[in-house]
Amino acid sequence: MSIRDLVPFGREQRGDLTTARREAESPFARLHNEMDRLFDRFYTDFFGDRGMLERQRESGEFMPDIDVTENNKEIRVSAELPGVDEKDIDVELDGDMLSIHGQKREEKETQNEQWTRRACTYGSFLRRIPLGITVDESRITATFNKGILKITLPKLKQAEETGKRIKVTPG
Amino acid sequence: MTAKELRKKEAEAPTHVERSEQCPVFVPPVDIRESVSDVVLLADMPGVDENNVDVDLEGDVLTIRGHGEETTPQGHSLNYREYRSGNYERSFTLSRDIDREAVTAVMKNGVLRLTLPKAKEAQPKRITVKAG
Repeated sequence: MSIRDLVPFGREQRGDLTTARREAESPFARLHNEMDRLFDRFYTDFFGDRGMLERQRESGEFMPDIDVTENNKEIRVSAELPGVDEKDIDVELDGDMLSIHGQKREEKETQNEQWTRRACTYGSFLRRIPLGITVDESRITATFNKGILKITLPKLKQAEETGKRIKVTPG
Repeated sequence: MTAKELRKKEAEAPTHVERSEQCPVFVPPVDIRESVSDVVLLADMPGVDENNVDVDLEGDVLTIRGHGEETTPQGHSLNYREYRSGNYERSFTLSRDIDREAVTAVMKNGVLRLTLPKAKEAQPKRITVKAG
């Protein structure tokens, strides 16, 4: 990281196009964002593709946000995909790497229309989520409702058992 | 808080309103497109369906409110979080051109689409010129 990166002002010279796509932010909010981004760089990420992800987001393309939760039986991955059609979503599992890819299509504009404000983002996206464990591939389910994709990945029996409590007996 | 959580911008509580719920309220990002006959507003509100969205028009102020769903299932622990579920709220001031009676709203895949037709008087008219 160069010292220039620590100065939160005027670091990014965005073109007119990108600026037009983003909503006007207050200088305070911008500083706040900038500081958060700075902190993000200090912490090594859980996922390796963060750098690419951030770049894509800064460019104003659509990239879904994900949440990962689990209990001792299953892992659940949910992704916010507002405005995406379920036909345009592909979920794949390769080993322990879960991939969600798809496309958020923009409505066709007719000629005599003009944009007053643009804040929603569009385009194709790919998220890869390393699960860290092997899951039961045959029982994976994915549902898409209200713009949220929920993938349930049941853990394999032996993975489940590793979390088993061992009774301690007096010897 | 990460930069990603900030992507869903949290709404500021209006000074005259005290929120009774603990859950966060987000400002949904919107696209607004204008043509000669109408204004189309698209708001991304993932987790909201047609049954838990309200569109209110009071005077010139159009308010959209959505009630999101909790995403962490019972008994699950959170491993990684990029978004939080919560409610959505955003208000817009309409210009006089909008025909308030004809506003329509459609909710699909977590996107609210409002069509705000312009009043007949506000639409451009073409007068046909006849040969005299």
